[in-house]
Amino acid sequence: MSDIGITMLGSSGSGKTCYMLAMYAVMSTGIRGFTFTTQDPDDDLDLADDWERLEVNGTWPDPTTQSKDWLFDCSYGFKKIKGFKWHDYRGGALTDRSKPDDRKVLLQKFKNSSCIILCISGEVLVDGRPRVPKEVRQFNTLMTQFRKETGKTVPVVIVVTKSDLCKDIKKGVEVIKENMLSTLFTQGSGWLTMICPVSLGTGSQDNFEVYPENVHLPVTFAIFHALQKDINDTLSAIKANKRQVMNKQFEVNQLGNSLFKAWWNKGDIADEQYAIESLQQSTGLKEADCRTLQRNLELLKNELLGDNLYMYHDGRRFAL
Amino acid sequence: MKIVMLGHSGVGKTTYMASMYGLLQSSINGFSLGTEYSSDHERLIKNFYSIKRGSYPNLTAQRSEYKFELLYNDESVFPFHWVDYRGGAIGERSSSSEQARILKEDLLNANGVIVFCDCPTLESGNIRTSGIQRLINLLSVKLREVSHSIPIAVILTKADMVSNLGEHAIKVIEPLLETIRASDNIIGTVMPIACGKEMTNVEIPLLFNLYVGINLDLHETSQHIEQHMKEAEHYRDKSNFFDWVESRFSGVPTWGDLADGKINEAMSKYYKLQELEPAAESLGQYLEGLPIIGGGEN
Repeated sequence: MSDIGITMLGSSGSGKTCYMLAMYAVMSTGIRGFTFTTQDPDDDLDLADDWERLEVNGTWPDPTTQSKDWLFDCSYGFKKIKGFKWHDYRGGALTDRSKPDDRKVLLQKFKNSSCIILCISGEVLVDGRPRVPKEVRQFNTLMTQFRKETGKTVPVVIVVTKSDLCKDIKKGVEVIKENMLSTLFTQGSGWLTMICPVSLGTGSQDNFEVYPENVHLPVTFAIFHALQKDINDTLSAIKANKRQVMNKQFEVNQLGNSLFKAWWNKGDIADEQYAIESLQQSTGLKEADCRTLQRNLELLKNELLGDNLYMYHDGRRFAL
Repeated sequence: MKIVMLGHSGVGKTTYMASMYGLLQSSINGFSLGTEYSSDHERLIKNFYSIKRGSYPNLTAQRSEYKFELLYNDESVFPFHWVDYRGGAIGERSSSSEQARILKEDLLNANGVIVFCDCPTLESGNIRTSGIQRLINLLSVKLREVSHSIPIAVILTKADMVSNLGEHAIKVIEPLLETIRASDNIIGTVMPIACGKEMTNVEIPLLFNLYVGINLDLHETSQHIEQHMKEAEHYRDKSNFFDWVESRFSGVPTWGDLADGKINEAMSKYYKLQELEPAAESLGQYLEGLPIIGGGEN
């Protein structure tokens, strides 16, 4: 099963890098058997160092000046469920006309993503009067363009970072839906969206207590939907295998439908039967894969049950 | 079989290795250990006696690989490789540290892992300083694509230095154990050990790994035998007079010859099976009652 691409968008200072560090800090140790690990162990050391500086010294990471792709695996019981490529880019790349290459690369990654995560700082949702960052305004346009150019929709997670600063999150959700990103919540739009408040902790910049909350849920949502797709693909492959087996069984019957033919074609019949066995073995393995995928899906689903998550499809709220 | 010890600097990997080797110079339930090189034997025995006197080996400076063999009733039944390395390598980047790069390769090729966590550090209750996260990362890199069963023994070293492992210590190690429990191909166990004047549980992590390794070997051998017999049957089905004639003219073996070849392969594997089974049974009896975690227990 192939890895998925996740692009995180958001204005400079919205907390994209901090979110990724917190997510990794929590998930690299794991929750209920689930872990996220870097595919390159060296990246693990870099992320751990950055997180340690934040957690121990209270040193916030510098604004990202270079874009980078991080490769992670989501695993259950150390067994890889899904790999995902996380594109951490320079905040402001979308709107900075002085560096058109950055914007071009970002848009390309955006189009090839299996899930888009948009960071909106809880700070802009304070007092019920939204200050809509430039990147967020652009986002509506981007999603429409995405739909037009690719002909598809992908799951979108709107991460409300610094949610501890937003006093009324329910009001904040309404602001996002009605004022900021209405494109994603229009009936008939086909978008699958989740609004997820996350927090790194509480306190002021100088006196901050690190206590990450919900940081693993956005990626969990992305992987959940990727697994659903994998299950559908596997079921199609099983169906194709079974069709092939039926065809070969018919051929075997044709080859051996008389005593003489059965003797004359003994070798070919043995070959076809061997091929049928191999196909049946392959089907068995795919069925086992499917069961594993379904089991993993159920496990991930348990993480996504909760009133603090706002999931919408085609503009209508739903729960898993 | 290749067994790799995984643990940070100073947790007691080298001490453990010398202790388990020294202890298994005397037969335990018929089992003992040998090594290919007498120089390794001398060094390990020297370290063992120092540990018994309360004097512990220095931190390991370099990686070493040992060729050990498990002896049952003085007969060699199961050779295995054992890797010891500088614990600091765990926290180094493989892009800049040769030892880190080799450690990563060793882990990828390992058939058994012994994970070391030391009790005094666990007692601090701090997940970050315990280094558990790094151990989980390295295990994940190793196990993410592995579908076969693999033994992992989590040992809590220096157990004699703490009176009781409290809740905060369990909280530190719990994510690792939870992940092992969630696995359907890890056969895991966890236990405290102590190496010193009194040796506690020292031989068990090794014997556990070897027990699983031997049983996996037996299982794989049985499967190969079955596969060879199936192939032999398939070749027999294709064998006929025309095949014999073709073979006489072209010089290629007949399907019947190929079938015989497969049967011979099956028989030689069967004899190997017969040699290992008594040792496996005896080890199983010795380890009965050992708590197992992980889906591999099925």
